[in-house]
This record gives sequence, structure tokens and C-alpha cells, in this order.
Amino acid sequence: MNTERIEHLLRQYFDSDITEAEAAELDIALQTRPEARARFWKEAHTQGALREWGLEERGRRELRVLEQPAPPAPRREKARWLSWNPLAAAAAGVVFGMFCASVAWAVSAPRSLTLLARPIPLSDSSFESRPGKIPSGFPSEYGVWSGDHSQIVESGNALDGKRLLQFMHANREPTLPNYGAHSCDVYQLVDLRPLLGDNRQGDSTLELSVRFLDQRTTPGERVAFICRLHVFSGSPKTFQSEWPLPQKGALALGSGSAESRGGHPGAVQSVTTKVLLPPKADFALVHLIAHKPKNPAGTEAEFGAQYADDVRLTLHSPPAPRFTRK
Amino acid sequence: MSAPDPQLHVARVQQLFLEHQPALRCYVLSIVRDFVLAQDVVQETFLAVTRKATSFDLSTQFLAWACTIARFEALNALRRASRPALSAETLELLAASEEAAGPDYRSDWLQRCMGRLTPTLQKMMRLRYEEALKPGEISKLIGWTPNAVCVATSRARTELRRCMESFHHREATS
Repeated sequence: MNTERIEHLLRQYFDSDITEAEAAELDIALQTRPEARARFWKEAHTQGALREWGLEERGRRELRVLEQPAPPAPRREKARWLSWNPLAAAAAGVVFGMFCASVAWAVSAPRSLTLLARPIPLSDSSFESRPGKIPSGFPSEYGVWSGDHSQIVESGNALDGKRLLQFMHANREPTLPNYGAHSCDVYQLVDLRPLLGDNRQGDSTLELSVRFLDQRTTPGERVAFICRLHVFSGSPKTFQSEWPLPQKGALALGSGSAESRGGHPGAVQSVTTKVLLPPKADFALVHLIAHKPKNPAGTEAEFGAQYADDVRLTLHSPPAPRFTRK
Repeated sequence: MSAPDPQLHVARVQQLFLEHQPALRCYVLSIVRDFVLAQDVVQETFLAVTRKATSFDLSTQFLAWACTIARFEALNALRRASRPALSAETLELLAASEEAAGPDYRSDWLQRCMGRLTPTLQKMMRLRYEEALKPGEISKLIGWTPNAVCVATSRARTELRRCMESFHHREATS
């Protein structure tokens, strides 16, 4: 086989139009000829770099569209991030800080070192506020649940209180339409600055726990329940328009998961994850996911029997000297 | 000395995944070639890496371990989608070859090299890599044959690669 033929087969391979017979021919060439393998990697790395570039360009383009001056519109229709300002951020911080002040300190079960476990107040952590559909899209501010089509419903199956979150339907990401069709994603942004203050030793951990329910009465398609915890520095100002691209900038990421095929309604799946809190952490993103890995290509996954409740975020830190007993 | 916290161990493994995500995405893409499928496979790999995290020794090479998992997930995905794939043996051989590590290109080089392509080729590259369109779909948009699109995008990739290699060479020798 000559070089031209290898070039042709690689072109067919990387442009997804290769036939079974050509794939078998390429397979033999790659097994027997080191120069074919070297050529394969050159092409693969170029494709990879171009795809990364394409994803970043797409994110930048979406952002440019959003940053263009909007035509005059009624005030209430203005996107909240576009009107974001430091005063609003400061006000949010004050309210958050006041809430934090009422949070009690507790001592966690001892492991290698006794850590103080401090519950971080999530907004509506048990979905008790009001029934109905949650806002769609990535959250535009701290302390709000929003995401793909999901709703807060009253149910006798609620694990904490009377209501719980029902995952309904996966929505593709506006910035990346080929992304997100398998997962129903729900998010909440959490401002960590008032909690951490100047106490940023880098020896604290942040733990997220969620309880999930699969109420299907008969076994069926595999569903993964995932809770993710991202930690970032700076501000989430552009996240709503850019998500999921900003994931790449996370300082820390934790993820816990459990799987279900249904058939055991009422069985609770508790999922937790933990991250080391970097000293530069400013805010966290709590991300709850119902995921159908085998969802048919080209369709958005449907849910309805999957629920989440009792979301808890806890900061574990070594005791500060002022809290030790004499 | 107390035993390490298993959850923190999992968190460290997940952090390694995050750090190596571009390399893993590139690796998965080299197997499945389809951008949408590659994204799904990367997500599946993340779940599998999390499930197996406790068995990973942090003193060993993460990327090699994660690539093995990714390869398994990618081949499964191709099988489910009934798409042609290279054999597992060939993929293993490829993973073991010294070229697998990849060059250390900077993203701004690609941006600058892109500016040197003709406007038509630039447009084609945007349709292919930004809009994730396949050559057949691009051919309908611009009125070329699918084969002509394949040849043109391949030529553009070669030009871009040469351009980035020249930047790389200049930086290495300066």
C-alpha cells in the first residue's frame, strides 16, 4: 500500500465516511507500518486541536452576540446578567451573610482529624418553596435552582418536607446544540466569599450530598443520578451565556453517581461528592443530573419518574484556634 | 498514619480527569471521529473513571489509565451505533506509539494560522469544527461535492499543521 492510499484512508476515517472494508484495510496498515501510525497521530492531533478551537470560537461568538447593545425593550425583559453590577452583587452577599450568621457549627464524626462541619445554606435545598416549573436555562444569579425542564412537585414520596424536584426532559445547551441531549441538568450557584472570608487555608473540603429517587415500578432503561460540584474563582457573570464551556476553568470538580434501572419505587439513592477547597475559591456550582446514557441519537431524553430531594452542601474545615477549648 | 479519605481520593482522580480532558477528548475523537458521539463518550468515561477511581494509584500515570477506559467506552459506543471501527489491538498499538503524546501547540498559534487560509477554506473549517457539520452537510451548503469538501478540508488541515509546526520550531530554537 502506498502513502497516497494511506492518506486517502485516513481522510475517509477522520471524516466519518469510511466503509467497513476500508476500515479493515486501514487497520492492517496501522498494525504493520509505523509511518502510518505516525501519520494517524498527526491527523488526530490536528483534528483534536481544531475541535477545541471550534468549541472556543463558538462560545466567543455567542458571547459577542450577547454583548451587542440590545434594542430598546421593556425593563422587565432585560436579561439579569446584562444588568449585573457590583452593588447588586454586594447586596446579595449581605443577605447571604446574614443568613450564614444563624448557621450553627457542629463537629463531624472524627476521621484522621476532627473537622468542623458547617452546613452551607443552599437556597430551597429541599424544594419546599413553591410547586411548579423551575426557571429554564443556566442560573442568572446566586441562590436559584434553574436548568432543563424540571419541576417542584408535592408528593408523599418527598424525603424531606412535602415537595421534591422532578426531572422531566433533557434540553440541549444553547451554546452547544450537540451537547446535553442525554441529561436533565439542574443547577444552583453558591457564593462562597461571605463564608470563606479571609480564612482560605486550602485545607477545607466542600461536600455535596443529594438523595435521588427512581419511581418506575418496572425495570427499564438505565438512568444515572449524578451530583457534581464545581468550584471557581472570579465571578459567574458570563456563565449563563457560555455554559458548558466555563467548566474547563474550574479550580476543582467533584462528582458522585448512582445508577438505577427502576423497579424499586421508594428506594432512595444517596449520592455524595467532595472537593478540596482551593484557597482562591469564590463560588461553587451545584449540579444535579439525571442521565440516560443509551438515549437514542438525535433525540432528547425524557424523564418523569426521577426525583431529587434534600440537597446538602457542607464545609469541613480544621478547627480555628478560637474554637478550641482550653 | 491514618488511611486516606476515599472521597478525597475520588475527588483527586476527578481533578486529574479535568486537567487531562482536552487530551482525552482528542483521544476519544481519534477513535469515534464524530464530535457529538465523542462528547457522549467523554461523559461516559468520566462516570467510569469515577466508578473505578478507588482502584487508581495516584503515583501512576493517569492519562494512560484513563485512555484505556476511554478506549473501551469509545469502542462500545461505535458498536452500538454500528459504525466502522479500528480493532482494539490496533488502538492499543496506536496508544503505545511515541507519537500518541502529541505536540505542545499553543491555541493562539492555531488562531494565527487560521488567518493564513483562504476565506473559503476558513469558512469551511468553521462549518466543520465550529458548527460540527459533516462534509456531506457542508457540500450542500456551499454547492461542492462531498469529495471536494473532504479534499479541501484535508488540505487546510495539512496547511494548518505545517504552520503550527513552524511556530513550534521557532519557539524551540529561540
